[in-house]
Amino acid sequence: MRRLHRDLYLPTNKSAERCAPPGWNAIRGAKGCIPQSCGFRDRFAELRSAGVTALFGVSVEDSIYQKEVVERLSLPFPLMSDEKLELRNALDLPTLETGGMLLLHRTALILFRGIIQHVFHPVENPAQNAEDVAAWLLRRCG
Amino acid sequence: MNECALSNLLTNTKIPSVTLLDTGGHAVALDK
Repeated sequence: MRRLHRDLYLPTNKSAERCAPPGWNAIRGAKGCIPQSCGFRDRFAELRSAGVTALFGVSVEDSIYQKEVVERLSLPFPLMSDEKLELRNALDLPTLETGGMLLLHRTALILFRGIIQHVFHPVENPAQNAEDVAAWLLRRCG
Repeated sequence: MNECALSNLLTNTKIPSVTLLDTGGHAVALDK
């Protein structure tokens, strides 16, 4: 089986329902951070079996906020902070602005040896994203 | 951005050598 070096996905955790700005759910690419994160949490073992050797999330929040999210959702993978928008700017990742916040669009990237192999964007159904990623991996690598 | 634009732009792109902070405040180089 081909081993994937890394599976990167990009939630916008600030949407964590409790602090979502007005109209959040109507913004394309915004809603769904918790269902997406929990989907990857619940399919973590399946993704590892499908060849994922590392999985992490990226968002623009600071690492203190992210640590709370990881603990609250019991995520088995780390989140990393792109607070300075370095990754966003380097890849020109799509963003959205709402409530005075600049956030990353919901996206999932599959990497192998540092090269982007596949991009899931837009992610229309965040809760199903992990399942879609696992299915892609099995088709490609299984 | 349309449905396929981001995929077309990024597929086969090398991940940039940027450093992010993990939840423990440790620096992680994405291209390592």
